[in-house]
Amino acid sequence: MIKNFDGNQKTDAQLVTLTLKNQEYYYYLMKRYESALMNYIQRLSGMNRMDIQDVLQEVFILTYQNLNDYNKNFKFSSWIYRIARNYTISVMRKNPKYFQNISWDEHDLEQLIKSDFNLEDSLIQKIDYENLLAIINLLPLKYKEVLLLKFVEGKDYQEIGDILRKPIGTVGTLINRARKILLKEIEKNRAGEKYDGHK
Amino acid sequence: MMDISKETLQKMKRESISPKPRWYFLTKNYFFWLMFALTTILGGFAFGMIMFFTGDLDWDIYHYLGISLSRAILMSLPYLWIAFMLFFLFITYYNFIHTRTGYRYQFILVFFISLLLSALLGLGFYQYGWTETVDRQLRTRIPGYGQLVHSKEKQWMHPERGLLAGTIEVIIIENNLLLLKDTFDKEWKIDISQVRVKGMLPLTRNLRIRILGQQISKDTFKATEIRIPRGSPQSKGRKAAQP
Repeated sequence: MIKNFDGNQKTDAQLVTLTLKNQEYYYYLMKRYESALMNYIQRLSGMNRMDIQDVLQEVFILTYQNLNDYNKNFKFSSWIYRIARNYTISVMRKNPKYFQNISWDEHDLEQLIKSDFNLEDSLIQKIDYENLLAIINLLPLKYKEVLLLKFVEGKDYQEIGDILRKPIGTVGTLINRARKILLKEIEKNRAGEKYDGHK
Repeated sequence: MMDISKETLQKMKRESISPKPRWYFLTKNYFFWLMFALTTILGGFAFGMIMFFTGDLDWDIYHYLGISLSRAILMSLPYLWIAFMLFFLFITYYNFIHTRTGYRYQFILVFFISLLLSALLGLGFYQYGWTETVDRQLRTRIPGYGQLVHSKEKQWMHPERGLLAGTIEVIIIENNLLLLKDTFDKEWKIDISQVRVKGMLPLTRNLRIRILGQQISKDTFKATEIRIPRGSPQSKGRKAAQP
């Protein structure tokens, strides 16, 4: 910690520049993203708290090692989210149980449903969040992660594109497809049919 | 509660972790741009070769072979070079999306821009005659290459159907006769008593020509039309072409 330094007064890009001169400044950058990335990793993978902490520490180290690759014309948040996403998925691939084990809380799910799905209030009332989570868990990762970034993390298309390294058009297509699949499954669920994974 | 940021900073100090140098990332980025440029040039060459193989084909002679134009097109496409061009386009796209901001562009846009660049380069290579040089070199150096591509030689080597191509060995004006060595080095006597010559050059020794007419015997051919291909020796523009 640096005496008489207020990290909140600095932008991400300024903190990056300072960090490259003095490692101590990196603490403020990490602190800024600690909680957001922890939630993101948890929502993406469903890992337990200990594993998330290990992953996050590794993400911070990777980010620091690659700090000279950061392009100041882009948002730092997108860049660090990309590193977090790629590293988390690489850990998940070693342990496939994570892929069907996401754990969004009721608030996240409510946010997802209310954000952009244009569902009637009466339908929202009837949604069983446990079932909804089960449906989301069975979605392919590419749909799950765009839903997470758009509706829960609140990222815009450009940010999502930068995180996933995809063009904006592709991000839009993925979000639309994911939304359609989810709505279809919610309807099916209301009719009592069981979701058995997206083909 | 554990302060991960603090723990991480301590670990970084303990293990003397430092950022990778800037030149490492710049080199990586320039490498992909360099590869992008290189594969675009190679794609251009492949495109030029496609032009070379399709540009000088004579599309009006297929009725001599008794096949339809669509079949003729399918038979004449240089699949080997089309495959090479697609391969290079794919590698170009791969290199482009691995540059720092390349991923922001749609596949279709990158593909068509690469195709356009390759087409422009290919046109240049073709116009300067480099594609012919490459073709000649490949035929000399790579055994079996000639069998893989459908060339003008193959198109014209059907004497039984009235098509013949080769190089003039001797001209005997008083007898209205040419001695011709065909693409497969076979000697022919060509009767030119009733022939029409299409082309900008006079008939001379070592000139590569294509002949329409009728096979009279095993080594005799009566010519009705002689075509001197664009790009034959001494013609302007492109360098010497195969008949």
